[in-house]
Amino acid sequence: MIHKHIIFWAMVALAGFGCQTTSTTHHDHVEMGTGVAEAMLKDTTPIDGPSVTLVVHGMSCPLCSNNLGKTLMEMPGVEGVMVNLDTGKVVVTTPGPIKPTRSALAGAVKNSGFKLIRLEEAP
Amino acid sequence: MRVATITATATLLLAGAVAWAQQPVHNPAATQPGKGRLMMRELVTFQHYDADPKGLGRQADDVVLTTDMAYGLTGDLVFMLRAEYLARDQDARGGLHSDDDGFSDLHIMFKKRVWQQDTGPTDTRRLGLAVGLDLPTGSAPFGSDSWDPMLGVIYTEVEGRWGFNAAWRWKFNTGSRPNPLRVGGAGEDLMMTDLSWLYRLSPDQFTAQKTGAWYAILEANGFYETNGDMELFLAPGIMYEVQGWALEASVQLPAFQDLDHRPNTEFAVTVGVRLLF
Repeated sequence: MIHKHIIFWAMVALAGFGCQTTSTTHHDHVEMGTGVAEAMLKDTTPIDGPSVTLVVHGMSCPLCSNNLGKTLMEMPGVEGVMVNLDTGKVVVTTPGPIKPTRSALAGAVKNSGFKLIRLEEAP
Repeated sequence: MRVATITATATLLLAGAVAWAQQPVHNPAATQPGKGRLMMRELVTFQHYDADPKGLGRQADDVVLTTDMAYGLTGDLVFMLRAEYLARDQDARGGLHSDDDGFSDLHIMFKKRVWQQDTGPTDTRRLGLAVGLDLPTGSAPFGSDSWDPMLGVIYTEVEGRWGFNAAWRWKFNTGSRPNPLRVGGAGEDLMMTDLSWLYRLSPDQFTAQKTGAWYAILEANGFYETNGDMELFLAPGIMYEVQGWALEASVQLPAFQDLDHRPNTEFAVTVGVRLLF
């Protein structure tokens, strides 16, 4: 139990240092530290490609995850959402010309009460 | 002494908790709908009262239809509303019999998530604060005819297949109707302490295709009124949940009762459905 606490606080400290030193936004594979998450919320660039994968933490149950699924499906350009609770991967299909922005996707995760870990775009 | 006993029991149960979960049937959880999402919940409860300590010889059966609505105002603030319609069949000493039905007081509540730590795809720890109010909208004999505020703290943790919830709420009762049957109806303040454990029976591992899940639930629901009345229920239950809805069922059985102002609850059976819009 004590070990878990030490590891947890060590990770918090590391995350804090990480946020201070990593400020670039790499669109193909974006890691969401605290600072980067805020940056993503301001990134109004539309995603590229026919789909994007959000890696999300905290979707504790099927009904909970549907909060995010429904919100994403209401976004213009989104035609499909598939959630895998085991991996936390939410695949958002956007085959048409209208693409959601990164800030809209990050905002949907935040407003659904979850944590966006990564945003992976198809190459 | 009684408060100390409840606190000791709660501490013991907390210490024995292995790990944690989603929203059970009776115990509030720190999970909530997202911004702009509406959660509807319909519950039907059958509750039997007997062993009246006031010497009135009351025996009663209540059928309670409960509608819960929760609407996400922001990602971490939700507005909740609870409406109850009751039908009561009651016998009392001297061959008295009554059939009553009507609404109880409307309950509104704001729940704010104040702390959150998401540690894995399904793993999370959340702490919420709740502020509520019972409005004097109920009809006799079900409404209290008073404005009753409520404060609470709610904790939820989910780790793998396990879930744990703990909630502590205090209701400030400012009025009552005579000879109440239901908990909190005597006009005294009410402390509600809930603990619950959930275990995901299946699937053992989620996939993109396997999105339905069965959960076994065990709850401990404690009630203490400042007039000294106290009761603790154990409530095993089961829940089936998919992405758009959930079905739930629970039986509340008294584990301990010390009541001087209202009849004992012999048992209560609840079934319900939840829908997310």
